[in-house]
Amino acid sequence: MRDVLLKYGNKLKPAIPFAGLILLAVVYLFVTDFHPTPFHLTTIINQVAVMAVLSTGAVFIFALGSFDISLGVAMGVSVCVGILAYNAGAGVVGMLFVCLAVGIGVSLVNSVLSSVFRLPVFIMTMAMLTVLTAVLQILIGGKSSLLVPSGIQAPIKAFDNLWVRLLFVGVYFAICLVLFNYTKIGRRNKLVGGSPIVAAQTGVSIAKQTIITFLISGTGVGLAAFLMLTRAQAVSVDTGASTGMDVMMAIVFGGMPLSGGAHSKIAAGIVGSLSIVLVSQILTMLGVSPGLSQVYKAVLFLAVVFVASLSYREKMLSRAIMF
Amino acid sequence: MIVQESGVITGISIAENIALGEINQFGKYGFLRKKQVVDKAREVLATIGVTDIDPSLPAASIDLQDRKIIEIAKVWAKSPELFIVDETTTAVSQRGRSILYDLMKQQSAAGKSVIFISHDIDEVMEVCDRLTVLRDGNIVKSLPRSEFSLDIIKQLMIGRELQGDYYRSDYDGSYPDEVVLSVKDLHGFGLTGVTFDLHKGEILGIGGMSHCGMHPLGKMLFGILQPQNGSVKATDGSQIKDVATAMKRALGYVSKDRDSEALIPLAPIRDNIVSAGIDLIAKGGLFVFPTTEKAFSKKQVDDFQIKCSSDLQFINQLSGGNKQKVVFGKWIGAQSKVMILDCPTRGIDIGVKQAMYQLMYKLKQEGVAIIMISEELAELIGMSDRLLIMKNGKISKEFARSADLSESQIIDYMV
Amino acid sequence: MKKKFSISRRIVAAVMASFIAMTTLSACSDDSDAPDQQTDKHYVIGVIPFNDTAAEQLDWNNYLTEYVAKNYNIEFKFATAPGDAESAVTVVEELKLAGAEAILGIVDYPAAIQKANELEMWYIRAGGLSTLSDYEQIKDLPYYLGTMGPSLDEEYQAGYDMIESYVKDGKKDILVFAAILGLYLPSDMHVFRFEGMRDALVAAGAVYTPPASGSVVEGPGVGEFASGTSGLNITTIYGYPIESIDSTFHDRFTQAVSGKTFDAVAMTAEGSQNVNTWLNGAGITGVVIGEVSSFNATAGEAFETGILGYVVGKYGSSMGPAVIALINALDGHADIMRNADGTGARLTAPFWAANSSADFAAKRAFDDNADPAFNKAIMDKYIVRLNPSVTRTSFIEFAGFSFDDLKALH
Repeated sequence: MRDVLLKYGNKLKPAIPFAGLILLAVVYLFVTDFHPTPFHLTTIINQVAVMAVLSTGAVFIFALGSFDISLGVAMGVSVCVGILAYNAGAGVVGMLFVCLAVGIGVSLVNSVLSSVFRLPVFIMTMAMLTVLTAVLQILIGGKSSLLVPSGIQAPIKAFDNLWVRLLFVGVYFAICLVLFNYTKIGRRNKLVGGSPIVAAQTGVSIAKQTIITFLISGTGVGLAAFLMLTRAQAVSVDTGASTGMDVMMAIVFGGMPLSGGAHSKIAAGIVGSLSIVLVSQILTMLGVSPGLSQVYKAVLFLAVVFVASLSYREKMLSRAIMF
Repeated sequence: MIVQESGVITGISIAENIALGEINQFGKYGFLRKKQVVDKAREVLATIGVTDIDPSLPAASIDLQDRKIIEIAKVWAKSPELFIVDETTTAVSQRGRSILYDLMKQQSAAGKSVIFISHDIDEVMEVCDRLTVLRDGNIVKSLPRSEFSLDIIKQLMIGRELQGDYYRSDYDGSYPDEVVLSVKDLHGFGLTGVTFDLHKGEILGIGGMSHCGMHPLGKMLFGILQPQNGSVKATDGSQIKDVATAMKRALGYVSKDRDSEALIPLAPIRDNIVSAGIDLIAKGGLFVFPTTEKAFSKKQVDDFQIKCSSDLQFINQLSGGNKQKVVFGKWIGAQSKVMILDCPTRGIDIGVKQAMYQLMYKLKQEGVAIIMISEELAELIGMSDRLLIMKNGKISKEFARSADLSESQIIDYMV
Repeated sequence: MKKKFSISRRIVAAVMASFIAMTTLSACSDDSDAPDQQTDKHYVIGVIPFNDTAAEQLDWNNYLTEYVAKNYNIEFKFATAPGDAESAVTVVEELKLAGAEAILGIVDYPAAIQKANELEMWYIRAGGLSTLSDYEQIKDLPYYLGTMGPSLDEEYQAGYDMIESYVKDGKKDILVFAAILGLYLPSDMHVFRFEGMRDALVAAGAVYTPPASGSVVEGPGVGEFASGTSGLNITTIYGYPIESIDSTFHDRFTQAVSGKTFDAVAMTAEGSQNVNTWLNGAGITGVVIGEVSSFNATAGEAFETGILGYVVGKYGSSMGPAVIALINALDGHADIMRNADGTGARLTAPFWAANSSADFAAKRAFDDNADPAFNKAIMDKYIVRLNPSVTRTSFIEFAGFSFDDLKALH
């Protein structure tokens, strides 16, 4: 058995997140007495959409061997500016463009400053987390939340449906899939994640690659912000506060290696987000209390990380961090 | 045992590295007497004849060769009954090597034992009393010193008679006049005014003691390090300022530190090979298709006869020789016309070495210009059309290819 | 190597098995005990808490599970406290998936109420009144019953009564701690509490100067008090030590209180233990503190240790009328709570107050879950199915029962 595991272990490992998702789907069907209703399925898509878009964009950053902890708050700022624009008469399409512009703009600031000051990206985003939280508070302007008045919500709510969500998630994922698996961008991301030194000696500009990566992720932030707005036409100072960690959890759940590199998988975001939503809904339907639910989710997460970190060969020495 | 790769923890001091495993004897209740640790380390270094390394410094502040000397000191301080040295000599300077040989002799004289693992037949023949040859996980033969013979040992190692010449057979050191790389008055990183030209189809050897500046020179030529003064210009007259420019001018670079600078161990062979040549296969300058990648990678795997289960096998599962073939394949695949090779045959067996030398000669005949930086005089003499010897950051002497050139003629210009 | 693999495989297997076991056991277990008295239908009510661990919320949770679920044919499903509007919407969907038919929400997210309405789930916002602006967003939704909690007048009176009690007790040196006022995040209830305190101090003879902006909402600061004819020495401090919101709080607090002594502190929020710590840090001890919180165990401890001298707040069974409103709605009698014009109602539910440890203990004992203030005997009279004579007017009165009213009914 051990020899079989040794021989096939590395080949089987990428399939584990998908197998886990299928298992969760089976459990879900079991809990719904094998009669899931349209409401069940709609709810899954509704809850997955924002996280799936954010996580898919974040895969690019993770593949680089880094992470953006300010993703969630960046989304919150994007939502807030979107609401301000809409309330000022921008319309739904205008709101979408504003969300995208803010999402991309914030991400660009992260990546450019990180390149200029030669700081590790993760450290830069930690600083941005504080800055963006303050920006969000200032933008909300002395209140606990900012709303789209109910009288003008209807055009936004017209986008609050399953097909819009599937379209946004589907198109963004398709673009990211192509970029990650079929272009130099994805190849170079994995190269940098594997070893920044080797990448630099192979002609990859780490700064340029980081900026491109954050552009892609920032687009996801903007789209996620728009999707969030279609669901709840409000933003509060806490919007997105814990989303950064939730995205990390989703990506790891989806089979993304902790250090990025060659094993990175673009589907990790969607698989992980779906898995987490299914777990959440299964526990809710079973009537598990919220406190215990958190414990179960944490235990599952630890188990997934533990399995993901098992290697069947000798561990490599840690690589140097480029900047 | 002294391990093959790095056995030093860079985040602590040299003295703490030497005291590793025995640090408790230098303090009580968790409090460490650092001065004692440093003094003891100084004593230990002195027993192997090293007095110029300050043990209070961080291990990260010394270079790889000196770190190996620290490891030697650390192990020697334990007065081992059995002293195991694993492929260490390729990672150390000449000084380190002579320290090791001396310690091995002391060990033997004291009636204790040494197991010396090495690919270098010359040094094995010089220092060992008995040689056991392994191949593919099996013991092939054990030879007493009286039966040592270079040809026999080579044959036992590769399992067949070594066909043809080990190095190149000709002594024609000629090359076209066309200059492909022009190096003018380089300063910085220990260099103090290096000037030379590299010609199309030339194998230019650069040798010297390990701290003579030849390794940073290689990095400067490829744009990894920037000189304080001076220039490196390509055939079109443009200056090599960074790696991207170097690659656009068809330069390739094989680093001495293969596992951390040339290859990504936790990535497939295919990813590594394609990495340098990705611009060649990208459609529209952006799109890369798996079928194209596979064909690109397969060509190099076949051409270099890289032993692997498939090109999706991970680098860390390959032998040293096959890893080096992947590195070569990476740069040949990228159609490099100027190859800068830093210790290209380090840590690989003679069968693969011979294949590397033959490849280098073939590339020369195809017009590829090669700079070979090496600490092995034998291969420099055996392969170079022209040999530059460096000392203290400058070129001390130039030698032309000749059947009469010997190591003794060269050594004076190195030390 | 072999040992490592077998241990790791065993650990993974144990984790997966325990997860499956726990979920299976949860599915098999019965959350609620069978009620003593049966009603016709079994209802599932979802609860959205404002905080998962706050003492006030835990008291409400205990009342719902230990008393209401055991005396009525109701099962409560508790959600995790949402952090923003989108999470609140998710929580509503999850409660629907869990089988909830109605929602008792102790949060202010119009988006969540809109989602509940879309899913045809009755929704009541309890434990406090929604702000007017939030209320305007959702008042017309057909499945929105309304909001129930202390009115702004109650909030004003809470502040007024606290100061009045201090003045009657002969307190002279008073620290008015206006908490989050004058910062980015004022809320109506805090403004009204402060204004009650202000007016009580002015009634006692103090002279008030508002902040430069003219408004405590705008800030900065909440204004100053001069003694006037009151004989009182009044110091004001505003803000709260949350680093991201108010990084200068500790400096301002120390500056405001140093060199002074106080008889009492009047807070517009809760957190007497913290304020006591900060005062001790400035060398000031033996100060009695008044806060607006709830009749929970933490406040009880603070009374016993002498830190707390006055408390205004809600209590465990104050959720009772909200539950009855939901039962009526589920029975088809939503009009008992909703306004005559079909909009959601805004019903006042008064605070309780206590000005001594004995008073607090007595009131808390009166609301014990064995026989709470809002007990079955009282609540059954307002379930239309059991008592068709219930009217909207009588229901409003029921929701507004004070401590004295409830005491008289027991």
